[in-house]
Amino acid sequence: MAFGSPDLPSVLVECGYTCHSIEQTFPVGVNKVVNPEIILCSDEEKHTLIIEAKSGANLNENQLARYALIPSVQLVQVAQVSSEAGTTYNLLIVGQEPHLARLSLGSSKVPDANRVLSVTVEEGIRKIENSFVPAKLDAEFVPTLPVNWEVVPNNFLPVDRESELWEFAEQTIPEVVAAILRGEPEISVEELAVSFIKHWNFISLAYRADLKERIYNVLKIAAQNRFSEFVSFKQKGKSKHRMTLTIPPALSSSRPKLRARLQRQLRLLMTDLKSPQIPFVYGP
Amino acid sequence: MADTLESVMTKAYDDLKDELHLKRNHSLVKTYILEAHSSSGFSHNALLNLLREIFQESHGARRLAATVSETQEENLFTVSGSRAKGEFFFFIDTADSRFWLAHAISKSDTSALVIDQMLGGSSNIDSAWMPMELLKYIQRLGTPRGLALDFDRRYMDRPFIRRGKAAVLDAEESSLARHEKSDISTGDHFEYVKMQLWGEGTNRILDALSDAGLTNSTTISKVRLRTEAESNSDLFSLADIKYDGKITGRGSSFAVYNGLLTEVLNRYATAVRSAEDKFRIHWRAESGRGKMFGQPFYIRLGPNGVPNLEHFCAKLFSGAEPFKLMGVPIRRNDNYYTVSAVDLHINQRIDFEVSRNTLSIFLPQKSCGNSLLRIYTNLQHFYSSDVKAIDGSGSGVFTF
Repeated sequence: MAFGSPDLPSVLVECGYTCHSIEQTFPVGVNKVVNPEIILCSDEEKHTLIIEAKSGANLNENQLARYALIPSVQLVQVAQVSSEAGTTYNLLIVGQEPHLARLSLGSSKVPDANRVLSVTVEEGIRKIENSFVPAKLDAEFVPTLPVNWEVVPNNFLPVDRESELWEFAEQTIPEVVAAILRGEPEISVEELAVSFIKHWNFISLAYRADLKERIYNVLKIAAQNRFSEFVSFKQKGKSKHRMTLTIPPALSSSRPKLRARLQRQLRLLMTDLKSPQIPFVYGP
Repeated sequence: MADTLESVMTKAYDDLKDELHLKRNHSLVKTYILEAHSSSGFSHNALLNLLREIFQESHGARRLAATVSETQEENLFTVSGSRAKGEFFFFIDTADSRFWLAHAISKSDTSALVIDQMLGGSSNIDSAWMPMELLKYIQRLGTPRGLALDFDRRYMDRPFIRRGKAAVLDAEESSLARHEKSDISTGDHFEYVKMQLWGEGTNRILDALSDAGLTNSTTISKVRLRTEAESNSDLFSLADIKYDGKITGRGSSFAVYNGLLTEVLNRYATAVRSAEDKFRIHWRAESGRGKMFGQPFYIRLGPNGVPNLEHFCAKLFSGAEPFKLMGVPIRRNDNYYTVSAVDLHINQRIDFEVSRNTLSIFLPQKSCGNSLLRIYTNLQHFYSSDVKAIDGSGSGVFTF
């Protein structure tokens, strides 16, 4: 929404919100930190919107208590928001409708007027408790901000540790294909990760290791089967996470044949991994 | 170079004015706007090597004997040779090291073949792609003298080709295959429009088509305009500017023609660079934290949206002309598809998300802004003239 997707509500763009950070950790006291999913900032509304997503039924009281400490710190200093945006803030918790009762109970244990509790419903995001400081933003939740969930973008966070293999393949293999077409001799798992997890350098090392292993698994499957003529691992002297790329001699003299072959193998691999791709029957 | 090209221009103009056709050994000046990609920088020697590499790559594909030479001017080169039965000669002006002007004085069919072979044989070079908005702007730089429309929906509308042993068309689909109309077509557009209108007042035809509710099939592909020297109207150029960056010129003054070329090139280059500044998505550290820069590029797909999203994605990402985007569309739900595709013009990855109303493009940092103009321009020519490129605020991207 903050990036102005034409298929989603425009209130965040109209209010001048921009994406400040994703999964940024900042201190709220001595030995106390918070790590929200997203921070959006609006100089125009003089407001920072800190967003926590909850997939489960429980709100962690300690976490709520830490967030309640935000008025005791300067967001400008601890989270590097602008002085205008740091004037006011809200914490927006977005939970799921089936857990509404438990979420409300959990919220009541740590009262905080700056915290807006909401849940996702079929029609959008429904505000349950408290109000946003900017009147224009608050007015859009009447009480539900209409959201068409079918058209929510995927690209900003295309995978996480719970994603399926085909989801990793969807992001990784086209980059391998492009590298082969450019004639590159090799590519690393890290380079592939950076190509589609754009905030790679700003996530924890442990999480990166996790994701790299998932990517490596997909590439191993590809190298063993559908892409065996193009990709190989474990060349002597090379690290486990570095792949050699080759073009078989039979395809090297014909770009159209090479492309067709790569496209076909990509489709077959995605079928192997049971991706919900369109049927493999369409031609140009 | 200027003297040579001016001589060609004036001879061509005299021929066409007097006899309505070119004499045997005369031709129009043809200028092609090209965009170069180089990983080794754009010094004079790097450009020379890049040119040699481009012609060597295209030579490897088909028979194209070419000699690339330097001239006395920095960053001006000549390319000469033969292709099939024709000789060709180009001046390649690389004053803008990324956006070149290639002036040809050989016959159109020969120079066109050479350019096609260069573009097809090398991912280091691409043509310009000028959307309608830019052509309309260019027309206002002088006195409009005509325009051409070129819209072809047949590729996008053509029914699927079934592959594989198990594919059996059911009664409805085989009927579909036999008839020209497919289930992507809503019947509210022309399938193929090719029209050339020369003379004054030709823009009125666009008003007439608009009044008839046919704005979605009337893509401007070429504009003709007359430009003159401010101080002397006897010094003039009559130029045709086509959406793929090909410009042909005749008239009495190469300087006037070149003035137009410079303006067109600058506008185009600015559009590409602005697109890169605005739409390349990447993260970098700022004030001790990671921050995202760039934003998605949106193309609104017309007032009626896309009735058959699966067919639309299958066609757009098949890897075939005209789009040359190769990917596997993933169906997230009936109304949303995601595609990580390879742009076969430059062999770089670009990500797409497609709803019925919007094509969202996520341009990686190392990709080229030219890709956005190319995709948008091709959608105007091969899908609908009504598509509109916007940014996150809803504002038109290509306003000139």
